[in-house]
Amino acid sequence: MANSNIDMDKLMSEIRAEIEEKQLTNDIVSFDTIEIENSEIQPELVYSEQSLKDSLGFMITHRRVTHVFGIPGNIVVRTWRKIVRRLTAFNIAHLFAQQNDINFHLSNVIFQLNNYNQELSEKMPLGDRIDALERENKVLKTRLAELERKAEKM
Amino acid sequence: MKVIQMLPTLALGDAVGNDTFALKKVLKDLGYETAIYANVLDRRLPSSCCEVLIGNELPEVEEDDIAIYHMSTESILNFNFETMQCRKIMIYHNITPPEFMKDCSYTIQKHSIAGLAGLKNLVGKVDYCLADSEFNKQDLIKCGYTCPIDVRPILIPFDDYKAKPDKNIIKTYGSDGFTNILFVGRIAPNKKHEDIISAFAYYNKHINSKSRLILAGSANGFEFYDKKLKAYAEALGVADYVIFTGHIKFSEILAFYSIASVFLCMSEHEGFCVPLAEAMFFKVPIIAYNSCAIPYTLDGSGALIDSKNPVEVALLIDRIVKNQDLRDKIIEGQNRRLEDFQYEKVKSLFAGYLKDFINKGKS
Repeated sequence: MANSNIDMDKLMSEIRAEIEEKQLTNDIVSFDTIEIENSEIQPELVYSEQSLKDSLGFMITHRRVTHVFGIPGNIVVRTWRKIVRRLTAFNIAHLFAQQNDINFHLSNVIFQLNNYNQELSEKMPLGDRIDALERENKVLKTRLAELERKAEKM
Repeated sequence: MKVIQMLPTLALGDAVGNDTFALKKVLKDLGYETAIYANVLDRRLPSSCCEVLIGNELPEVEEDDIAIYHMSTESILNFNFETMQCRKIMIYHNITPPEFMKDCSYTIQKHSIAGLAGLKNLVGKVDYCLADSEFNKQDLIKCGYTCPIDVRPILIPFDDYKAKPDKNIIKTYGSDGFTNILFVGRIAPNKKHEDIISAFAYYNKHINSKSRLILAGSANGFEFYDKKLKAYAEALGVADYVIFTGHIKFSEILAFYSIASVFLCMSEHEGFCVPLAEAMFFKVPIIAYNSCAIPYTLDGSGALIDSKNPVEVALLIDRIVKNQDLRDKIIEGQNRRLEDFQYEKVKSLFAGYLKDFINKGKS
C-alpha cells in the first residue's frame, strides 16, 4: 500500500523477540469467561423445542389481560385513582375485551399449529416423511417422462 | 433536475447523518436543487432540515431527477426505493453482519438480517453505487451488484473539528501525567472493545500503571454488551482506569482526541471508520487491527497489526508512547493520508462522479 513509512513487520519481529527474551506471558483472562445474565427476553432465531414449550406455557396462563389490579399509593392517591378508574372503565373495558378475544384466537392458532405438528411427527417422523415424499416425487417424474415420450411419438 | 437524498433515519452525530448533511451542502454548492428525506428525524435536529416520510410515502420525483439512497440498515426504504421513477444512486455505508450480534438483543439481530435482505433486494434495481471504501465495494460485488460502483470516502467536515475542546475534560484527564489511550466509536460487538480492554489491561498492569483507557461512545441499543465490558474491566482489575463515557458532546470528543497519546482500534467490522480520520486530524498515532475497511482507510499509514495478542499490542503501545521518532514517522504518514480525505478533494471526487453519471444518462 502507498504511504507506508514504517516497517511494521520489523517492528513486530522486535516486539516478539523481546517477549521471548523476557519470557513475557499473557495473563489476561478471556472475555468469554465473563458470564452475565441477559435479562432481556430473547426469542430464539433457530427452532428450540424447550423455547416453544416455555412460551406455550406462558401463553396458556397469561393470555387473558385485565384492567383490574391493585392500586398503589396512600389513601388519598388510591381514592383518586379509584375514581378515575370508574370514570374511564366504560372506555377501557371494551378495549380489554377486544384484546382478550385477539389473544385467545392468536394463542389458539399457535396451540393448534403445535398440535398439528406433533400429530404429524407422531404419525411419521420428519426424516421419513421427506424420504417418502422424495420417493413419490421420483416415481411421478418417471411417469411424466414416459408420458412425454409417448406424446412425442404421437 | 433535482438531486435528493433519502435515508431511514437522520440522526445527530452519526457518520451517515454527517455525510448526508455534508453532501447536501456539496449539492447546493454545485447548483442543484436538493432536499433530504427520512423516515425518522432525530428529535435533536430541527424539523426544517429534513422532510419526514410517513409509512410507505416516497418523495415526488420526475424522470430526470436523481435520488441518492444511503443504505446502512434495515428499512422499508430498502424495498420501496426501487419504485422511485427517476435515476437511482445508492451510497453503501455497510451493514454489520448478524454474526457479530449474537450476544445482543433479538431486535438488533433481526435488524441486521433484514438489512442484508434489503441490500440483496436492491441488486439490479439501482443505476449506480458509491461505496465509502474498497471494502464496501467488494461487499456489493459479492452481493451481486453489477452496476458501476465507485469508491468515495465519507465527507468529513474537518473545519468543525477546529472548535474549542471541552476545558473540563482537558483539565481532568490531560494534566495528571497519565498516558491516555483512546478509542472513539459506539459500544457495539463488531468493534471488539474487549480486545482493547485486554491489551490496555496488560499495558496498565505490567508496563505503565499511570495509564488510562477512554472508550468514547454511546452504548444505546447494546446495553448487555456494555454491561459485559464493564464486568470484564472489573475482572481484569482495571475498572478504575477504564472510562466508558457514554454519549458525549462534540466538544468533549474533541477534548479526548486532544489529550490522547495513542488511538487503539481492534474493530472487526467497519465500512470506513471515521474515527481513524479524526485521529489523523488530531495527530494521534493510530494502532489498528488489520480487518474490514481499516487497511483501506489507513492505506499504509498508522500502525496496522495482524495480532490481537495483548502482550504484543501493549508493547507496541509502549514503543509508540516512548519513541518520539517512531511517533513522528507514524504521524507523518497519517498526515499524508489525511490529504485524501480533505473536504474539497472528496467534494471534487463526488462532483466528478455525479457529473459522469448525469452525462451517461443523457447519452
